[in-house]
Amino acid sequence: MQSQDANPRSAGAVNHPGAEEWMAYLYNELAPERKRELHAHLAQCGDCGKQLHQWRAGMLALDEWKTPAPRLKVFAQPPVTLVKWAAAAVVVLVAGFAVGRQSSNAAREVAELKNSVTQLTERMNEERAATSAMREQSLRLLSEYARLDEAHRTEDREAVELALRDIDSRLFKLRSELETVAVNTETGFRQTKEGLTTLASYTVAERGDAPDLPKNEK
Amino acid sequence: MGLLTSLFAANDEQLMWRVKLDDDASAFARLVQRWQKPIERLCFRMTGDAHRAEDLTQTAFARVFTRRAEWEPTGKFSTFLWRVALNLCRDDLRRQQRRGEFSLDALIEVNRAEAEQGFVAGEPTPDAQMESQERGELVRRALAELPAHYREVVVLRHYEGLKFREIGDVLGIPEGTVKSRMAEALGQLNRLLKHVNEDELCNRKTQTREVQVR
Repeated sequence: MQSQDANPRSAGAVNHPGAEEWMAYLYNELAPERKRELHAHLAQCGDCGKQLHQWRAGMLALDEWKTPAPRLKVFAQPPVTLVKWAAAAVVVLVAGFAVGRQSSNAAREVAELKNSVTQLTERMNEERAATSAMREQSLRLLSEYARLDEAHRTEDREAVELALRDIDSRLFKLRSELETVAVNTETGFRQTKEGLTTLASYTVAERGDAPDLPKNEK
Repeated sequence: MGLLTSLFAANDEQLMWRVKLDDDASAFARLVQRWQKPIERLCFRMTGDAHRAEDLTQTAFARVFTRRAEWEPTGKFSTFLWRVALNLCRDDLRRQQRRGEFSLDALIEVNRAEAEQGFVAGEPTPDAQMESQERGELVRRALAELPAHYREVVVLRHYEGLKFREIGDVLGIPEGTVKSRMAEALGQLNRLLKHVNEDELCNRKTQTREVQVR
């Protein structure tokens, strides 16, 4: 009876709405168009009308148990009390708003934020100053190192030049000595040659006097 | 005032987010303030007992607070809260049934007595009002006889006005199942009330005859 699928009726080819749809109809939860369709169906279907009547009777009966316990009455207070409460609420609201503005979190947070930004800026400036001081010191040290380095180099170069000069002079001395030796040697050779020539001339001149001597020398 | 409040008020999910992240007690207090009455109504309709409803409501909020870490901001806070409260109601009903303390007739008697006391203390009650109270009692009784999984759908849709889709979310079942449960619940309720009405009519006739005999 309650559902077309469960219990098809003999009312010709008419499609009877199911119980679920009738519930939505009774509690006004249907789309207007579908509601009109069901209404039209109701006008021509006695079975559905009868069923709907029983459900409606149940709903009307439920309406009779209206009064909950007295303690549950919502508007038991006289309207004056409500007005008083409303006025009190407005006062509290306004006061709260004012106090809220005075000591609002937002204002405090902004102040804190500003403070921290200032602190940060100060710290950044300090850091910057410290960095530049360090850079200057580094530059100074570097230049000093360069200067010292340069001095060392000059010193070294001078020493090397001195040494070279010394070597040059020694070489020169050596060469002159060598030349002297060479000249001396040449002179010696010449004297020896001359001596030998003289000796030979002596030997040729004396061959007649002593013809056996050269033979013995050979 | 309503406009002002809605302009400045954080929604449930924002409040619960604060509770979850910062254990914000004032945010939780506001959630309790907003939802205490609906949850108490739900517990009352489910258990039929105002005192137990009050206890269950407090337990539900305590449980929401202890489980705040489990809450995911992808879903509605109310879905989470309804689910916690409904689970507590089910547990409570099961416990009562196990103990055998749950006697519907006794409950109805207590409620009737309370209602009558209320009428004595208040203004003189017209007969029509008394009759309406009695009919309310009958409905309460019929509803209490429904299985809990039908009753919770009825309470959430009919009394608390949740959409079928939302009820599906709370119960973790398809929307179609919620609707068919609702249809079944309304049908059963109607049958139960017809039965009770016939009994009542019988009783009244018998009482009238007894009076006439005397």
